Amino acid sequence: MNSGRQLILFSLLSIFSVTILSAQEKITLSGYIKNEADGEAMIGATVFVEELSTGTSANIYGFYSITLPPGTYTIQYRYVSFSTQVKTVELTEGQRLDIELVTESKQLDEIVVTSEALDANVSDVEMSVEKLDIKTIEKIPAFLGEVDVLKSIQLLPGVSSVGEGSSGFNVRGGSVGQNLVLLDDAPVYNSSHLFGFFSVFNPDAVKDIKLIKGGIPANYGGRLSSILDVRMKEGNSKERSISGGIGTVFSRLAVQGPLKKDKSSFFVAVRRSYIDILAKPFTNDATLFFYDLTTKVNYDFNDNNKLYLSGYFGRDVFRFDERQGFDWGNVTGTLRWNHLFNDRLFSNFAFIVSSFDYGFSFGENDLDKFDWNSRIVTYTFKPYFNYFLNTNNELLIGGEATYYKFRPAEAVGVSDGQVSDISLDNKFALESAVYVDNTQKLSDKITLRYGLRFSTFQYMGPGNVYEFQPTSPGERKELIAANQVNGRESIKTYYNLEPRASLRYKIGNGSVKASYTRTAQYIHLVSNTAAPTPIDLWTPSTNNVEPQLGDQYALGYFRNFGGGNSFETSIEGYYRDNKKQVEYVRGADIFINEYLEGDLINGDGRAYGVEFSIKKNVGNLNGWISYTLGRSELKTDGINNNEWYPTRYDQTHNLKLFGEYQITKRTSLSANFTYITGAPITAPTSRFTIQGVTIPYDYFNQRNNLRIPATHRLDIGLKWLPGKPGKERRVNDYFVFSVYNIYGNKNPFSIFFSQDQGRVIMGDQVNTLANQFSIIGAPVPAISYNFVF
Amino acid sequence: MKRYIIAILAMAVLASCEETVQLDLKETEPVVIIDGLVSDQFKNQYVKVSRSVDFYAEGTSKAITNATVSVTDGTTTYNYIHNPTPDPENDGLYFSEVRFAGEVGKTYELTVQVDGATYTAEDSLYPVTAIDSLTFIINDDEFEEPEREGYYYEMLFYAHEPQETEDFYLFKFYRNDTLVLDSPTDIYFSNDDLLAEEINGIPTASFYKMGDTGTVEMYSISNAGFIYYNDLINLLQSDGGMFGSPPVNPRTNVKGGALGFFQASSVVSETIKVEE
Repeated sequence: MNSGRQLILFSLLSIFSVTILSAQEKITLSGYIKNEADGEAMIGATVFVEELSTGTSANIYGFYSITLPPGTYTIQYRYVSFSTQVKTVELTEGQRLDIELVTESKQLDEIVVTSEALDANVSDVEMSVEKLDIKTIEKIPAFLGEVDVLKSIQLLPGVSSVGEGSSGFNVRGGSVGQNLVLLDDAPVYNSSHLFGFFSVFNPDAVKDIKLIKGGIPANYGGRLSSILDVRMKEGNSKERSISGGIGTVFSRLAVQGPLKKDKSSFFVAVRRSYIDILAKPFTNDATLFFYDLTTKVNYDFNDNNKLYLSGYFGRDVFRFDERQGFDWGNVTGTLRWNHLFNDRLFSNFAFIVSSFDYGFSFGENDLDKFDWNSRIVTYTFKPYFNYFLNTNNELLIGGEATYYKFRPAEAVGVSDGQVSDISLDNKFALESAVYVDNTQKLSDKITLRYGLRFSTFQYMGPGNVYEFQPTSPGERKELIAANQVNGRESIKTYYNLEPRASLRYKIGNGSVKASYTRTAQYIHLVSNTAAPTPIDLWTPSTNNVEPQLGDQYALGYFRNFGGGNSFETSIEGYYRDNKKQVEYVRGADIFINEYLEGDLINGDGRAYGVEFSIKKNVGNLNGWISYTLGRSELKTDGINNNEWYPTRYDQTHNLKLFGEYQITKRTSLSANFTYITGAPITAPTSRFTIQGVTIPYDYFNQRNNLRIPATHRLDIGLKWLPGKPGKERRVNDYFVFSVYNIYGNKNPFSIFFSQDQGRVIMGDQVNTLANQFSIIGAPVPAISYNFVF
Repeated sequence: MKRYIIAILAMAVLASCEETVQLDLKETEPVVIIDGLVSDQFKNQYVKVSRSVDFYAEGTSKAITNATVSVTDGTTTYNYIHNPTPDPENDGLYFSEVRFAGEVGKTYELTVQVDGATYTAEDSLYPVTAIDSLTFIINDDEFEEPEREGYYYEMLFYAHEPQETEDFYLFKFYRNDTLVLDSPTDIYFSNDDLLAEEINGIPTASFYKMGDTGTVEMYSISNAGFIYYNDLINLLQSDGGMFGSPPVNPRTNVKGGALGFFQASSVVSETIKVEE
């Protein structure tokens, strides 16, 4: 193993030294690529040098840099559905060239035909990456007419959720807690509003979404399964604009504009749901609502320095009456400073704070009540350097340090005026990583991306250190000792080397890509409920709970067909091999349990599958079909006879269809269909009667032994732009009419088992029943009105 | 307390639907179920022995009438006899041949033999704290809108909880000698985490009318008993809500492959009548 690591390091070093030597006598062209209309940076815009048939792309801040031998070049700046700009550049000395691209059709109501579609999916070294732009997301018929980032992500291959109304999403057979969700670099610890029906991302504020399912580059880490990187809009730096929507569940309003033209801009977006008002007849005194605010301000000091400040604040509130209820929410803040050291060295320094908390209040008066809350707060510093070595090498070097504070439970009960405090101690940890990553074009055919991440995790004081004695496997471990640690000393340290590599090899009009990713995960989302919920608990690796470690291998073939690459197709296979995945002892108690670590065990996980995708991007009819055949399993000592068993999110078939048809210039019809194999649950086989109650019982004592029925659903939507053809309206507005679950399928949220009727009287037969609970059991129509002016 | 929270939270959020479904569950072999109690009251102690049935089976749990049952405290062994009276309602019930009272501090071991298989279980008998008193108050909400006419008296319960020991309790409430429950699947039990030293008027289940008698029985249970009742209530109150955990077979203190629980308890009881 050791020699293997040395070999990797050595080969990395040798590649760098070679490329540095060859990087002599060349000249750099660099700059920012922005949208002409609003000044937003264009992430991933392509820069193509005609003469050399080579190019680069803009990074997440819209910055590009390309180093070429002196000469005159024709440079194309390209971006999907934007007019390509062609510049003739005479390179004799380093040049800064900022570009503004113009959208092909400024008219919202005209059909956009991309003159030259891009083949990024084939030519990029990236694989297992899904990108959705907000325009596509807006077309997908959505629940209650409200477009949602996470719901749209779930229409892509390899992505699913356990059931309607469950928080979060699952990627390639991974758990919800194995996804790293980033909002402007800040980790989001719970991505759901309203128990998973909506996500925390306000679509008005979102600029770019990227889901990395495999081939994760070395600049990301900390989770096993995927990275969802969401970037917010910077705000229109050209002119003030107001947009918003009025819908069935909530209303949105966003204001953006320049603070100082082309120098500084701001963005503020708010949402507030009013389902509490609609649900009033059903819920009496109860209310349920959420609100969130997403905001960003940025300032360009000069060509070489830019500052971005972004924040998110959101809350869900669920009240049974005035005193009693439940609420939860996230707060994130990110301060970033972009600095250009020179035309080839771009840097970014980010300071991030993120917190998630939930709280309960119960009790009718101050003498009898129970208050309980839990929180995770993290502080992160992330420096990163993007070095555009030469035409063939783009280097990323950076680091990351996160300080965690976990407050598992602050719980105080008052019973008849007497207070009992059952709060748990805080837990602290520090996670850090350094990485280096290089994208290297070996030839026209071969591009490589490889990197190495070195991560460490320290579980530290002050706090209690518990020692447990294993009992029989799969059962609660017994506490044998507890020691107090007072200072900030390290209790347990872990470290891991995480190599990453991707390869693209072009064959004809297609390409073959392969990748290998090793990731380590040091914090764990503990959830023992049927579906993920907001009260799931993040907990650190400790002396008892080890980090999760995952290897993923992926291989894929990408190919475009038709004129202008009108059909994009791909097949990808993946195999994931995980160690120390979190599992639970029988009857685990995860709430307010001081000895939670005694209830956590770990097992080996494996997940594998094939993803097929066909996408049609142009024409009056466009859309995609994605299908995943997959399996996700666990093997844990003491559970299910130590044999492999399916995870809670093992879904064999996952089929998604999305289509949009432009009927007229002002109307378009869209539909999406979902079919997912039912998730496994733990079901009883028998029953017995004891002390007057009938108890369901599983003879085989098998976890996840039965599948609930498959989930399938068809949604349709109609988008209609009011006004007359050819006549420009002062307000760009449109209506969306949608019906969710049009054939009213009762998709299971959960299946549960209960006794049939009252107390058992001697000699009576009392049956046990299986009940299916569906959150949505009927078609749900909705209308929303959206505007920009 | 936690159960209470989770039960409330499980309320459906949106217009939802719930229906009974028929699942394709495996057929299995029956399992022996043992349910026994040794209390500190001087009487014929009982043990019930039966067999489980399939989830969707017709009929009740099958009584086992040919078992050999005995309980020992290490020095004395008590033999049990099947349905001595005999009463068809008591099929599967075994009573100790002689009357005896369990003693605090002793550990009782049960042995049950059925068709050549032997099952054993043991539980320790812990002390229980005394009930100081009971009172009745008029529950304002019930008084205004009684669920049953005249039933608006609520029984409150007072006791001292020793704070230096970790204790577990099981409660049973009776109205005129009939067990009462707020919901048919309730079991009332507690650890002492949230009980203060002075238990000052904790409300009990159900409501009473003028002239009714109310009785509280308080049992000491072991940690194993607490876990067992906790597992039972998890299964009984499973409602498929967002906060429901997957079903887990109730943990048992019976060894040898049978299920159920053999419990040793001290019992105190107090009775009060609703009067003007």
